[in-house]
Amino acid sequence: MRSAVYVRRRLVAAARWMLLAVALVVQFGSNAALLVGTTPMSPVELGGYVALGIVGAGAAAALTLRRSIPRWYAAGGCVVLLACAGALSADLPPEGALRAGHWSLGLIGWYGLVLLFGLPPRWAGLLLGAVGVLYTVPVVAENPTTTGLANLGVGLGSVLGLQFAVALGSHLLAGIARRAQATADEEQQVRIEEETAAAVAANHERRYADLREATIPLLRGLADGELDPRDPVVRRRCAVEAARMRRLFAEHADSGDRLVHELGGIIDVAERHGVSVHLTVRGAPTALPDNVRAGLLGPISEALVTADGDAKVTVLHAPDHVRVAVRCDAPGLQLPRDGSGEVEVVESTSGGQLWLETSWQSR
Amino acid sequence: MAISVVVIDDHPAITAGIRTWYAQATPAIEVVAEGTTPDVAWSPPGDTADVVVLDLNLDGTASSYQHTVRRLVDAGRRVIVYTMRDGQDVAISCLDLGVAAFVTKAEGHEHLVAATVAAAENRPYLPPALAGAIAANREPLRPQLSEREREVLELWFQSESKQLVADRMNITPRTVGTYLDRVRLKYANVGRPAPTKAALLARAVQDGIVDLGEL
Repeated sequence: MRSAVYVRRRLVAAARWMLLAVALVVQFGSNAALLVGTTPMSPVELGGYVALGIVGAGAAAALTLRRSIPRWYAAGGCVVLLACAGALSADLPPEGALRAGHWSLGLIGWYGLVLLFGLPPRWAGLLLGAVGVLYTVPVVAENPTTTGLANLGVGLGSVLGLQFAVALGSHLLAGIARRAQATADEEQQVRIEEETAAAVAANHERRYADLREATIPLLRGLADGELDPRDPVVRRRCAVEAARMRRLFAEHADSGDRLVHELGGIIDVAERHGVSVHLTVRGAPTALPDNVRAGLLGPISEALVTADGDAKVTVLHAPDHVRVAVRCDAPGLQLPRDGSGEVEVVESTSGGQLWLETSWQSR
Repeated sequence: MAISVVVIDDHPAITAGIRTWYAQATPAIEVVAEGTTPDVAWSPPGDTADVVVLDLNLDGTASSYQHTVRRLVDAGRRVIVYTMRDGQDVAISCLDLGVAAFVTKAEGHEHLVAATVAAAENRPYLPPALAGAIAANREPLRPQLSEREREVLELWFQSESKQLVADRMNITPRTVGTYLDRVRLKYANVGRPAPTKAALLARAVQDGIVDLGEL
């Protein structure tokens, strides 16, 4: 899953950098050459050039440091762009045809695309439209000739039209990247589910096979009268097998619970030692870090393998914590137990009964 | 006078076991009728029994158990659900319907006996598995519990012993019981109204576990 997210981010970041690179090359390459080589710049032109340069440099800094452009910066930047468009177009002689003096037109559009990247393309359309209007108004105000208007239309149409097409293209690219990630995520999820289901099924099959080996001979012995139900050993075997079957039947409901799944393995071992374990699970399972799961189960496992007779194990998934506990006859040998990492272990012995609890706070 | 009980369960071994446990209980509890369908609770002598002990697995469908429980509870019967079904959703939905207690068959028989005595007296009883279901309940409209109540609930679910909970929390077993009662009463005070819930709350006010202002 991580790789899909990574690919999408890389793709989107590359597209945005590409747009910014175009804008920066236009401003500090072709426009700079143009402005240095021609007539002396008016104060308005100089101011506009510097303001646009600052917008571009800020966007580059944000992309480098934060890998994204904050919303407030994009909004403020657009206001500066429109202000520059208004001031610079008013500063031009009101003739239709585009000329060297219109250097700012294309540049403003490119910066606009960088700032509005990732938003629906109608925002870029709106900005480019507004820029177009700002460059048209001074010309229209001076009663231009039809040819002049047509020239202006052709010029604006080709510059802004190209930029809008690029905006649409980058929007489509972002959409494709998003869908690619979603597809990769879904595939990954399906693979995980398939693998989990296969593992659970294999585990069940193995344990049903265990039942065939242990439970069926026991039942057959009881039915044939070979085994005496009054015999404490037979009774213990019955208790163990019954607990095992109960757990197996109950497990279908919580196969998504890895903690309980692993606990099942521990209980299996305890049952081979003749302990009859009753497990109760409450709450909806949450994903636990591997080390937490190990920390919760370690002490429980130790207690269960040294237990004797019956044991009761509980798992509680509360919204902000998980608790696992075992109650069983206190073993003769007491081992020191410590919590590992964030897992807390509490143990008490009373009336020959051991009560051991491990818990973890998720927040 | 002995507490009278009608037992509805489709396994004769369970019914026989319940009879034995009740026979040894103090105060005395008498099974006056037993059967494999809820009809036995509606006809004499089962129709006047103080407590109905009901297994949910009669035919395995959720809608029918809800209907059966609702009908009994709405007629003012005190129902103890005694079941193999270990799911917390079933437990919470039974509480909402207005049962007196929900006891799983995996829990010790002392919980069934204690729940029966409590039900007959309209007093609350919260067996450990039900405590676990309440502790894990995340329904948006669930009653809000205090930090202390939640802790008692969870430790009782784990240890099944009021003494162990009391030792762990440095309180008396009696206080543990009071906390559990208060949690149980909070659940009686929400959801659909039922005569058994009202009786439980009325008795709790009388016993001074809660006062009217808290309800």
